[in-house]
Amino acid sequence: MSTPEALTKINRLKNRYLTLRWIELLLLAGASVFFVWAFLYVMNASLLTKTGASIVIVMVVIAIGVVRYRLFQLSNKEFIQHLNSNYPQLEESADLLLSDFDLLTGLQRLQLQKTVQHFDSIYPKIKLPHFLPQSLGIFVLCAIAYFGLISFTSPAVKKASETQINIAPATDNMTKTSATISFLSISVAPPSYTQIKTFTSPTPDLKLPEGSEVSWSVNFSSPITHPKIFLSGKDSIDLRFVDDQYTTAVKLNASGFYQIQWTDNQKVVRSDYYKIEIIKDMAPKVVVDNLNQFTRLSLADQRKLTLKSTLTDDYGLTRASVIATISKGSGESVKFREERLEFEKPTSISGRKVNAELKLDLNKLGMEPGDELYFYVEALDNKTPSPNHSRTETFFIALQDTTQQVAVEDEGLGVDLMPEYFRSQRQIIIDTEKLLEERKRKTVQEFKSTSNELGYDQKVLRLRYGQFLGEEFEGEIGKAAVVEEDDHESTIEKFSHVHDKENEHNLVADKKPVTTEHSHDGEQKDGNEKENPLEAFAHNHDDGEEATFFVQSVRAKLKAALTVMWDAELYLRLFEPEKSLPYQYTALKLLKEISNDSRIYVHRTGFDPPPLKEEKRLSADLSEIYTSTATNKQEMKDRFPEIRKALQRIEFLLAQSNPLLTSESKEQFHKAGQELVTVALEQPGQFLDGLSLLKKVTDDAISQAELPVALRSLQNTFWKVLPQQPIAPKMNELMMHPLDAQFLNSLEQIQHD
Amino acid sequence: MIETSLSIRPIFPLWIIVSIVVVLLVFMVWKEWQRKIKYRYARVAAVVLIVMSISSLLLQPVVERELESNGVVLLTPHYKTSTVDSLLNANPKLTLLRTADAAPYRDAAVLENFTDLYQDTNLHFVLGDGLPQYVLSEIEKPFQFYRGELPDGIVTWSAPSNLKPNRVQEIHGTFRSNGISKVKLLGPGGVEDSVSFTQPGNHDFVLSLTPKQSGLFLYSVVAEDEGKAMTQKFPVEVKEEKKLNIFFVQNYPTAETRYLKNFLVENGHAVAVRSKISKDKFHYEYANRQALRIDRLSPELLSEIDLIFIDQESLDALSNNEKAVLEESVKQGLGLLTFYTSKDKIKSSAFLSLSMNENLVDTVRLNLGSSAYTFSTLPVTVMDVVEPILKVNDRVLSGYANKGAGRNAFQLLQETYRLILEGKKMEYASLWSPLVERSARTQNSKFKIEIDQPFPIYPDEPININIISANGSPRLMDDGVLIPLREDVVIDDYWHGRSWANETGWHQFTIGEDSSKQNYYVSHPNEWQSLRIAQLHKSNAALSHNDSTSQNELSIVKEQHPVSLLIFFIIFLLSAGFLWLVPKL
Repeated sequence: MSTPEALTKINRLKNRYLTLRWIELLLLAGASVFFVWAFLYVMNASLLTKTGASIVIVMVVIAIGVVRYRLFQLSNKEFIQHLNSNYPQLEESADLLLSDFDLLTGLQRLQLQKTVQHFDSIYPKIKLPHFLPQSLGIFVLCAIAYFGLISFTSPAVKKASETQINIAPATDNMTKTSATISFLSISVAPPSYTQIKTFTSPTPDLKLPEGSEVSWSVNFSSPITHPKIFLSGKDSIDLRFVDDQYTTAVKLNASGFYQIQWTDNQKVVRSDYYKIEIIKDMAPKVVVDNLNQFTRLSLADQRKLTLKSTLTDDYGLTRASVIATISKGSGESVKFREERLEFEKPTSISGRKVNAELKLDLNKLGMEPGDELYFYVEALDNKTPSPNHSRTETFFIALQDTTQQVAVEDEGLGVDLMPEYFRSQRQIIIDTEKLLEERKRKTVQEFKSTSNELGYDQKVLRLRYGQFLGEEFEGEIGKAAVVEEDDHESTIEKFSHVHDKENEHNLVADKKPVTTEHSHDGEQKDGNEKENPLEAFAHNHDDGEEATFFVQSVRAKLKAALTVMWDAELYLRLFEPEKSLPYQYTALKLLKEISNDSRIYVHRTGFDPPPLKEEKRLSADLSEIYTSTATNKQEMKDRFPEIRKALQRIEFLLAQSNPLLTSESKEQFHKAGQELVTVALEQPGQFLDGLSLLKKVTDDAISQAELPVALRSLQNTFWKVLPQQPIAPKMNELMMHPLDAQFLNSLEQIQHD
Repeated sequence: MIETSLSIRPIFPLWIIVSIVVVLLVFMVWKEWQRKIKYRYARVAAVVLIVMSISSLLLQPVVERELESNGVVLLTPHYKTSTVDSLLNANPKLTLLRTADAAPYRDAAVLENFTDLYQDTNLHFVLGDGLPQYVLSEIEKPFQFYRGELPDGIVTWSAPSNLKPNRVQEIHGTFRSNGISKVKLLGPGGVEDSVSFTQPGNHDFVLSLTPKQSGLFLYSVVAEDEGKAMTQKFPVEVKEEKKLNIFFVQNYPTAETRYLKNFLVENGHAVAVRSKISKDKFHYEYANRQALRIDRLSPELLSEIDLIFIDQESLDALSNNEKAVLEESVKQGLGLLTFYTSKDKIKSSAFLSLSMNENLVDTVRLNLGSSAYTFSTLPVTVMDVVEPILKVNDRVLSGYANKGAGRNAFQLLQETYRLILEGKKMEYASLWSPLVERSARTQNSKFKIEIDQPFPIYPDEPININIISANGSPRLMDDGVLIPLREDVVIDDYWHGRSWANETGWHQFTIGEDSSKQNYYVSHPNEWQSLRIAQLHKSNAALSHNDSTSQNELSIVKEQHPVSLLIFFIIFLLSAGFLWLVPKL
């Protein structure tokens, strides 16, 4: 190997060394950049600061490296010296390689020869000094540290970075001497179920979903003590000093307002009032779209119904179901079975609006005719911890039972006088009239048989009514025909009431004077009673006459009706319906009266007070009763007395050309403010501005020039607070001149004259 | 050339004088003719002269001359130049004067002081807005007034002097507009009422206001005319409500009295109740007041009470002495409100009852507030002359009859308390409050201060004050400054005084001996100008002897000089003396 080759190799070595050093420096610079970034991240610095700091640190690191390693001044000579000192094989002669060959002595040339050979042999083994692995290690460590730091940062730090979006509402109501809010950030974290992201409120007036957590971060222009947040209707909350900021967080569930208060040089300073408006989580809305509230299904109808329901909620639904109750049976044996049915489509309920469907198969539900299904749809939303719940009205589906008997009761009657299976008197009358009309069209046979049938109906009716009188001797209805045939009396005798003497005897016993026999009959009865003195003391149940459901007058009428029915039946049997009709009408009239009478009977069961003893009236001893006196004092309910006073004071101040707020006025305004707070709590939207203004006025935060305008606005607010009251009478004033009195006297005299 | 003419101002009607004179003349001439003495013609002439002189004394002849000398024309602001020109054309010798605030006119000199007018100045014409009220009262001689143009704005304004809280009250006025315009009344709580006009011209309007709080307030009246808005301050004094002393006497407690009593107590009135619970046993109740003896009606008790509620039974059960006391007290000013519960009892009683006739209508439908209510009423009609308070279809349901200084009131509506049960407090109050208020005793103040000046009052203007006193001489203070008063020449206890308005704002007249006071507001001179000018026009026109502005009447101005009656008397003496002398010649 020649000398020039050795020289190139040395140059190559040197370049390699420089490259290594530069890489080492760049790694260190990178590491320091990571370090600085991590530091600045913790310090919450801006991107610009970060970039600036990075450039500076890179420059510094490289500058130090360049100076330290003399990277730009490194000459071949120095490099050769380094080789000489580190590699004894070169026998301290490597520098010969750099000297001009022509100027070398022979010995030097020889040595050069030797050195070149040695150099050539050690060249692959030459190690250049560097800290590349260490640098790389430091770089990697810094990088890991940085990324680790930004990946696992605390939320507080993260929020701090967010606050930069926020505008700082510098409250302008402070006097210049006291500290002011220099920075205010309000971050609102709505509850997670709302799926609304955490946001920073652009204004100090807050509008947020119910249950949101609100955190305030406040900076002040100068050091202060005791910072607090006053929430309406609650105690104050102290602000904690964390990371150069006063912060606190609270969960808000009710609308109202808040105020920040702090102490600066023993002086309590308060901010304006700010609104808190809560957006309530609404309960879900559930609507049944396709069914009427009452559905009555007959036997022929489809037993399968589709229930379609629309469910909506403001944030999201979690569950919805149909609660169905099936009632079986009636009266005391009714049974209920409740079932919870899930919607079929969609299978799981979620989202803000769901159109749900369910097929109701009444057969599957085990419903039979006469059963009823009650159901309602219920839905829950995703509110936590307790979800909002709402339900529809109850819907009814009834399966008609056509086999059921309907019992109709005549109102006002103690007893059901008309069992449905026999014809009513009115019906008999109608039929009789119809028969008379169709007489010409009918054959004699047909006419007679119809008339006879009507007579039978009339008899059945009579017997039925007779049952209520205890006339059981006639036997049952079914047997009546047999009895008739067994009777050997002539037909007229049989049916004529007049000849039915035994029966007549009983019937007219207590009757009102309808027939002449009545008085005679009464005498006879009296005579019977006299015969049996024990009767007055005996509890006699056996007398069929007495064993009825009715009081005497009703009974008498019923008997009369039966009597008339006898006659009616008689003429029907005689095929003379036209003669029968008047009796039938009389019977109908009597029956009507009976039903009316029985109503009166019910009415008579009232409370009968014992009679008053006239001589006792108004004769009580009153000596123990004393004249009593009651005194009460009712303060006039003048609402908002302080506001009323403040109104007068404002008017007084406004009347002056240059109003001056005295401490007395401020005190009055302060009191009025306390009353205003109570109103503002109810209607923060309307009176909060007034409250803020009032605060400014009492805090002297209003310039003298603006004061009249502020007072006028305040007056307006106060005036609106005052309620409209009813007109109260008051005393009128009147001046009585002696002449007036004289005039009135004269007038009086004239009137008398 | 000066024209003169003769006219007469007869003392008696002319025909009487003429007929008497003619008869007298004929009689005396005939008598004189019959006398057989000398100078027959001379004597007849003397008789004629006598009669003529007597008739002249009765007729009072007046010489009218056209104005020839220095009549004065006063120009006040807003005069019409054309009117001045016409006046000068007709009477070139007129002297022109103008007030300092009137526009200059040729050689019109500025009138330094209105007092110059009071003396011997011969004021004949006033042009423009007119002379202020206080100058007019000093000028006795009438003048001719030619009004200037009335400016746009509010030209009449009448508001109740004392407003009552919680009541709707009305202000009536007239607005002279130029086009589309609007009048707004702004109170402390914002706009109270407003009215707008689309046509130019004079518009009557009504603005209503409901003060919620007693005290002195300045409302603003904003008049927008053709886009120009003008704000004027309107003073409102809402008087503190004075409480009444009320006494209920009832034969047995009823719901009606109970709720009425509660209503009155709630409003802070002092109430005493005497309800009979049994024979000679009573229940006494006092609210908002000390207990006092109310077991019998005595003059002392009734003088303390402003209004007594009594039911018909209790009224009838009063002893004769009590009845007399009650009647006398009512005459002295006590208010009596009788509860009539049944029409039969009214007829049987005569004492302090009103005469009533039976009426078949026993229900009435009333519109209270927004909805209508049906009330049962006593089926009677009051036949006396009464002051109605509630009237439906010409039937008086509640009202009062004057009885001396007091009032005898009645309420025919029954069971009004159900309004309270329904929570209709406002409606209940509107039924009872006016009746209670107007039938109760009025507060007798010792003095009454009247400001004899229409609104507005401007700074440095004199304010005339009249005081009516009930015995005793008042000491009037205007903001603490004693104002001298003089008593009226004719009427006893009627005092006059004059004060001068200070600067803009509220001021107060007080009377030293009493708590009587009267607040007044001095308006800013720039405000209410249109109203003031309209008032000046009216008062000036009242003093002038023309009320027409037509130009042709301007030309002739005459002065009247009565002929001295002494001349006629001397003629009479001479003639009579001649007649006396003739027989002696």
